[in-house]
Amino acid sequence: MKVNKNSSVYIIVYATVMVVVVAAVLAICAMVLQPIQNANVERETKGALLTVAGMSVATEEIEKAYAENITEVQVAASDGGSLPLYQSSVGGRTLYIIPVAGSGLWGPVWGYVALDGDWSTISAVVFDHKGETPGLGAEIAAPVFMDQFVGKQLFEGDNLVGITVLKGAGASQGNPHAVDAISGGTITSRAVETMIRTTLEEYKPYIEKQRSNGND
Amino acid sequence: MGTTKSKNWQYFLGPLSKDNPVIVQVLGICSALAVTAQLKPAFVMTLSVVVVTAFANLIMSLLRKGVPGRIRIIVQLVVIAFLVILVDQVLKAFVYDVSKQLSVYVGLIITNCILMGRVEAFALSNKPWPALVDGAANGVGYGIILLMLGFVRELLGSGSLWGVRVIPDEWYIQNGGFYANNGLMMLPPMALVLVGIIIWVHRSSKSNKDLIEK
Repeated sequence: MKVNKNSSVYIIVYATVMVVVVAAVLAICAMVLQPIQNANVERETKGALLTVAGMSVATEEIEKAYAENITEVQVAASDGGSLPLYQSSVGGRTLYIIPVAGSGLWGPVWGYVALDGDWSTISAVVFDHKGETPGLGAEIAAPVFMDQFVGKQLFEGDNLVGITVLKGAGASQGNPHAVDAISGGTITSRAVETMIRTTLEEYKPYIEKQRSNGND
Repeated sequence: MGTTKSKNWQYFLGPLSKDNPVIVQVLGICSALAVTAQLKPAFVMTLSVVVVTAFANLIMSLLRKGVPGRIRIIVQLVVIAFLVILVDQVLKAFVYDVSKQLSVYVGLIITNCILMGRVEAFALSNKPWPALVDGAANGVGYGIILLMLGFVRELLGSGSLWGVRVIPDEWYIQNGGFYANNGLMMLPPMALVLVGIIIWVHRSSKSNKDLIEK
């Protein structure tokens, strides 16, 4: 039997079969790969927390190191809800790690900020992003950018000032509340600034309580 | 056999220079500007595009006798999108680091004109094996340009290659030297200028005189 390839029936049947086959293959593929992908993401999160706590561990040892060094607690938020906070004690030094999240130029940006016992000095940060431009905005995840945050202060006296990004190489030199932005990645750099400030704003009541306890 | 072999060889060589998708057909310019600020993403993008163009061409060539002419573009799009999603999912599961490196660009392969162009112009009217060769060759031809751009832009824009610093620190002005990175190199418009220069050099070579429009 000769099939007329331009008949509407043929076209509709062809399109239907094609869509069903493609959808089925992709669905099966996604279901099979989902657990592996989720494990990758979870391991990456734990790895980021360990990095910011000052430990670099091989991929295989992340689970064990995480279980030994990091504990998660919930703290009261400014709006009455609860927020996650991680505590780490690596080498006898206690750090408080706050997860931060915001929007970059093309998609979400997020990270972890590790604070010293005074709740103001940044011990380390880790940033990551979903789809910032490589070489430009994506540089927020580069050590060159992240290392600038070490030792910076989130508080000026009792005021939460966060970390500002400044234009020009070396513009932030000697400024405890600023870092150099990435050239060509202004929007992403600003997103980092905003995400730290807005997230910290939510933790503020808890942090202030801790700070006043510490100062007594 | 001898003739088909040399024909396949020509299918492979054409897209590398005379029929290059980027500098002669002027396809895939968008991603060539976007991913070439550094060499590494340019390279990984090249690999992904080679895989997807080769298999999209192969699959469409296998399907070519059954595809209804009136919806062939939609069929092409579905096949390409299917392959790209598959590649993305597999990368995410098994080489998570590489997948992160590529970020959005894997998804953007779908919109690369080279894919649709080759499927429509070649795969639909040729046998599977030549179609596979043609797809791979166009991916490689695209990749050559990407790597050239990535090399120049990373070297002059960041003073590094493959993330490794090659320009000595003491050369920089802030360290008392005479050198500064060219910030313009990091921005997409400069990549377009570089593509223009490559086209210029390519067309002025003796063997490519016939490419010059009268």
